Amino acid sequence: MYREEYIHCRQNQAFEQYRGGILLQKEIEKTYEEIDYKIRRPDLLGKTVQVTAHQFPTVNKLVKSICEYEQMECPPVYVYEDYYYGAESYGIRKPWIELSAKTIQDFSEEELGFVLGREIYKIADGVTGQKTMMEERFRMIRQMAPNQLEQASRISFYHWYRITNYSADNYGYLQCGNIHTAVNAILKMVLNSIGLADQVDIREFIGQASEINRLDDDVFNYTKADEPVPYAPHRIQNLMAYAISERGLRARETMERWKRV
Amino acid sequence: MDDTIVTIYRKAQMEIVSCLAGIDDAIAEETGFYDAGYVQSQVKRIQKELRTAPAEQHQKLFFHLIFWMSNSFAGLDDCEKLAEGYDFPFMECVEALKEYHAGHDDRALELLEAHYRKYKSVEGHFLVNKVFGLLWAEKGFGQKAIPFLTYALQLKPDDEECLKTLKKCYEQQNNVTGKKVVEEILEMFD
Repeated sequence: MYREEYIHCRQNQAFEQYRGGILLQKEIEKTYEEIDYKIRRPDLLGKTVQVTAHQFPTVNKLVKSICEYEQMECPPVYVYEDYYYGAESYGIRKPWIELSAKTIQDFSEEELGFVLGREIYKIADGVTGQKTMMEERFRMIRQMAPNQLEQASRISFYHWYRITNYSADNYGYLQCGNIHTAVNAILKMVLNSIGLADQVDIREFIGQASEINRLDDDVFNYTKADEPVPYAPHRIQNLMAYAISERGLRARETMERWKRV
Repeated sequence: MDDTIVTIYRKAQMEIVSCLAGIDDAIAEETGFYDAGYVQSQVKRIQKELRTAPAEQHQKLFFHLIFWMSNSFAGLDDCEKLAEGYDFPFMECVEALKEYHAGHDDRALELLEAHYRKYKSVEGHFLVNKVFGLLWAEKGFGQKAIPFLTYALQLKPDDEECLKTLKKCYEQQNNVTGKKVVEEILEMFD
């Protein structure tokens, strides 16, 4: 599916804005691949369980199906034990996904499709690579420059990264094929509880977005800008708007046709 | 005294960082859905700007104020007062919204049709697009209504009146996917 069918309309503009401030890209990538990636590898293999056809086969099947659709190589997925729900992709040249065991345990297959679809989109579109590099860059800047420069660099990156998260939600929705499922997965992730997610009244929860938007001064806006992932009520609003849009309907039809074949 | 210094220092630091990051207004644009909080923030921003703006900029700012405030029926009378002395073609839409709100649907449709014939679209306005869509749907022109309702829902995706009307339009048009998506959203509100 064409990227333009699901990415957020402001994403390219935000990327240009943030790319202007990127320094030492190649050096950071080299340091990451030669040192930091190697530091993480043994821990990943020794402290997690890798998803295969025999270990967590449902996850394996979902990843294979999404990657087949994207015509890309399947990234390795590692399952770790945690009290929290979570799925996150890492890496630059050899990306992988880390998924908490609790997520597999408590999410339906469709909800897992949403969560994994988000991460596979991020890998396919280079978001994961940029995020990994940015984390490295923050570490470097912290050692070399004043605090404000690191904060400014982080905030500029977060603006783009929040927008990519909207795109990831759109893509995850297309993969799971139901807006309700996508919203449920977001609620579970954010609230870290099935019980709490079941208690949410969507109408009132979206109303919290209005309250967030009402908070509009330098301090409020600074703290909002210092968030890497958008607030859940805004994510739900975005998903609904996308699902109803002309391109959202077109993309969903394309995806449903592909799944039938 | 110390508290004041600390507050000033922390605010200044945030301002410097926001400036360096170059994202002053970007945060508001990221989540540009027209819920009450967002519209209120936009109105307050313009009112603040009006207090210091030179007189030659007032016309533009009044227009922006009217544009935002007219996204709810409750703001229409104030819009008319603000527009006094100016010649904004957009006031045709405000008049149409007032007619619609008073139950004069035919007159509202007539005014909006005339405005759209002249200006082709009313971009970025929730209520005008919603009402134009509702009016077409009411007249049985589902196909004409769909783009306006869809556009309005891009600005306010949880508007149930728009969603319910859109569902009916998709039913009329035998648009299976469209109907299914709207139903999924409406089910979340049940």
